[in-house]
Amino acid sequence: MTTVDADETRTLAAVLDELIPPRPDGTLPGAGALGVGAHVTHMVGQLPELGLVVTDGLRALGALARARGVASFADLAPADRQAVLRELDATAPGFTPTLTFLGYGGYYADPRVVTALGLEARAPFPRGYAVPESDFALLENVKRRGPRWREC
Amino acid sequence: MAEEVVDVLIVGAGAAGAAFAWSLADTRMNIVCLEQGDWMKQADYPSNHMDWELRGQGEFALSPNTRKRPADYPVNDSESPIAISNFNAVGGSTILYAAHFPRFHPSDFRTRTLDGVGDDWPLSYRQLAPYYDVNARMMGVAGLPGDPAYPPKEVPLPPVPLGTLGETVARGFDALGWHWWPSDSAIATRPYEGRAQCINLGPCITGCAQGAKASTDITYWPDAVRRGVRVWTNCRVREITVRPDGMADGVVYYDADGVERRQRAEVVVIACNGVGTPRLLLNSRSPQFPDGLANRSGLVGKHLMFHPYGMTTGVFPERLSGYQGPTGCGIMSQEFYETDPARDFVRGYSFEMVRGFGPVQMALLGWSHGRVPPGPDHHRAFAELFDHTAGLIAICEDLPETVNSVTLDPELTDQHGIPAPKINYRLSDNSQRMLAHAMDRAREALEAAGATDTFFEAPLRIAGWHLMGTARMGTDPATSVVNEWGRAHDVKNLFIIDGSIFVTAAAVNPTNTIQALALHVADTIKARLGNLFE
Repeated sequence: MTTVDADETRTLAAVLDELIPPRPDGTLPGAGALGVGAHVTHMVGQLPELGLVVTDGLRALGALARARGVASFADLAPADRQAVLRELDATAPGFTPTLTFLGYGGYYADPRVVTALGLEARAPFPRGYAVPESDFALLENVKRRGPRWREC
Repeated sequence: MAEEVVDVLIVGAGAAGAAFAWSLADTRMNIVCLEQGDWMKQADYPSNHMDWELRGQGEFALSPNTRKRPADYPVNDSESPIAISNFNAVGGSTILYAAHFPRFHPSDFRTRTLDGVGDDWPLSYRQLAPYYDVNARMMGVAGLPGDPAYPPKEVPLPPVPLGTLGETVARGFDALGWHWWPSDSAIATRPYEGRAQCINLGPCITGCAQGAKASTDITYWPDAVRRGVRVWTNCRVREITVRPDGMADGVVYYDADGVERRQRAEVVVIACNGVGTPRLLLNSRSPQFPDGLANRSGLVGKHLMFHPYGMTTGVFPERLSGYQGPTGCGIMSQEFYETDPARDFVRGYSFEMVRGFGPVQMALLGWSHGRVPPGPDHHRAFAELFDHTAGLIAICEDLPETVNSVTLDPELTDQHGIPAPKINYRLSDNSQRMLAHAMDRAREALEAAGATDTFFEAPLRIAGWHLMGTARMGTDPATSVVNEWGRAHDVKNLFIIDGSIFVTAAAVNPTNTIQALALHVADTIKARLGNLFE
């Protein structure tokens, strides 16, 4: 099973904040601050093929950060984080797409995000949704044009 | 104890197997159905949970290769632009289908005569119509009578509500003077035969927690079981065995504990869908049938047809509440259904309205189209799309071609060592021209409805959910696998009743026609019980 250590967890949160930053109006934190890293960690434990892509990438980010003189990717300045991510994309092209896929899933399933989007943070069942009955008067034009199937 | 020999052994408890078993239960014969999956529980479906969208990507994903449930078998679809979608359980793929439930048209059974392509079916719309009516009552079809694209037909329940999104799309069709009509949907829009009324949960394609969608585990099967049909679950059939005279005499299967077992039968009926059925036939080799059972024509696995899908998404200024209501059911346009010599393709396509997406799916769809990128612009881009999109799906008629096929993979197997199916498929020039036409028309319709921007994907890779043609019916044993009532030309006590026996694909969802055919085969068997094998 793929696991993520403490430094990689910190790196993961920092990367997620780059992918989904806080809302500009301050009403939602970025994906890292929201805790989406826990979802990603859970998923990489479930999906070993994705897990390796993520953990290898996190380790590579650590190495790239240390080469720039800091202990962790999370310690880099914002502009340097973007540069390091681009550098990693050249050698590990699967990392950012994998983390984006997992990160989007974790972020947009989070009740705090769902509420901020103006929706009720609940399961669809059992309450469902009320959709008004439709008025089919608009079909008059279609009816007027008559049958269109081929008799055979 | 003597080994039990059942009268009728059905393999597969999905759309076709259920309808067939229900009908044949009239005979009070000893009927057993072997199903590789289990009974589903509505409480397990994703829409019971806050994270319904994530659950829909995992154990309820459309692709068996992603889902990897114990009941699933892998499919090698790496050499196809369209990937296989299915589900293995009592109810089969009706567990995950959208329940969009149109009939075929009269012309769909006569494409050779009318348009010089494909082949004519050995039966007509008129012959199948009574079975469509029975199926409408059993499945509980919702819709609006009077659709001018069809002969008059029975629709027991009122249509699903269109919502803001549906009415917006309808206005687009209307502005262009195009045909549109509320879709026939296998969804209980009122309490119906013990089923609860639809409450617009949204994600029909991950199972209906309300039990309003007509999956056959809650429609045909309960009545069939009450009348004595036995369903043995978690039983995966490896092969059909034959007697020295070439008649089928039963199957070899693995039970829930993985133990190899044998079940003998007087009649064997295959209902494993357009991929599973040829897989089973091709894996049933014997000295009498060295190339696979019922395959003297060499056509088992050939003529695989999907429906090439294209999806166009329109972006609207207003909010559309599109995540509410049955995902794939709303309205349908058949403006471009029949052949028009002025176009550069033969046959045609339907448009189906697709409702909006939940937040996760919207983010991922937007990302896949470069519309919702990660990074500083993310939130602005997401807000522009979420709850502001409506989709139009084009479902194109595929034509039967021998190059499109299901074979046995030489290496990939399931957990029991049974070879996995391998899909070889390519889009024909006709399909490519049809998709291009459809994407242009979809953009026009969405813009007429008020969309300020559109984007599309064609073909839609995930859309390999309609599996047809791989054991086609016909009157000539040289050019077909089964006759006009589903009996194998080569094996007179073997019947095939799923989408495999389709001759052509039409341009609508096939489940209603699969079930009507299964009812037709069952009725024919009942009428011929005295001379069934002659």
